[in-house]
Amino acid sequence: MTRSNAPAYQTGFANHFATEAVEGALPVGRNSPQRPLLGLYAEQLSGAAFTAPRDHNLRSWLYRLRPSAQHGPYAPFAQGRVRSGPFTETPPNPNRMRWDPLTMPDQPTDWVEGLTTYGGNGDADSGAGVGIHLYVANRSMVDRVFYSADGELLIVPQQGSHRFVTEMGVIEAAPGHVVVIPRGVRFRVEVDGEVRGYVCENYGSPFRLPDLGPIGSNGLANPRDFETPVAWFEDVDRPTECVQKYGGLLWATTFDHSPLDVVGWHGNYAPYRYDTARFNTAGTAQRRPTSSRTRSRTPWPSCSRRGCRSAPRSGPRKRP
Amino acid sequence: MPIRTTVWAEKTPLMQLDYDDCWTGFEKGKVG
Repeated sequence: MTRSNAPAYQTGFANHFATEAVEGALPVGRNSPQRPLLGLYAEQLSGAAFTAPRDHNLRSWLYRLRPSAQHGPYAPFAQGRVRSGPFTETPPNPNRMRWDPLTMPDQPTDWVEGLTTYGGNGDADSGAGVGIHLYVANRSMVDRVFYSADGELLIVPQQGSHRFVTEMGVIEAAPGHVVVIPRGVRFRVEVDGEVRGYVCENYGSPFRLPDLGPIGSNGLANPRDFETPVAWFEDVDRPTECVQKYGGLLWATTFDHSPLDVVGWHGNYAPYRYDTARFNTAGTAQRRPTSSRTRSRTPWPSCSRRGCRSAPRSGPRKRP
Repeated sequence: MPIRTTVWAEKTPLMQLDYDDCWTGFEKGKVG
């Protein structure tokens, strides 16, 4: 049964979505009108170079209550266990390494406070490599949001219910889900009890779905199973701390309001979740309709797996 | 690019220093 207050999602990987929490928030036929609707502020959030080819270009337009630059300067945020590449603290070590689970803190600890870097490779500044983090938390982030300027975050919950309240909507996740939050998207993590999990911070090009090769047109992680939240916002005039990860260190500033105030947005740069239970380890073997088999100009992939044919049953394939 | 650990990861008591021990005591393969 679906809860009445469960967040809603739009499906499809890297689709061009359009969503508004208040009717009329999204301008039609233009992105940045001189007089934005409802008095909102139009901002583009870029996830790729401005001139990147169309199939690599990631960006979204956000329409928010206040400009996102409306805050004071950032200052170092003492947390102590978060790093970014280059990882030069220790030499490469050929030994096998394993760790016991992080100890659940006795003190109230939110997601930011419980984030710990174990290692990684590459360099966040040069846009290549990953950071490997684990986290524990036993309380929700309150009047605090976080974002990484170093890379997109692939978060893998291991224990407990998570609620990622982002600028672009709300994502609920539990063990079995993976959640991806793009570089630069602010969010807070609300929890119901103790949680723990893993974070892969990707400094490089954003994640994409791999080609399927001989598997065919379906299989592995299917695009429709990726879920992006619909627009959601909060109108809160209360000081909110914003912690950002930048160059491997944490910095913080304070907004006089919640920056989770995007009333509507459109574009293809947005957070999403994926339920790994939907992963299909191979394509479902299927026959093409007769007309397709005889008329297709697309070369047939060869496949020797059981149930997968390399030629129509009726005889050699005919080319048009 | 090799993965490098942080100092925290190498020094934490959570590291399982006895991990290599689980790779001892295996019977040798028999080819004769």
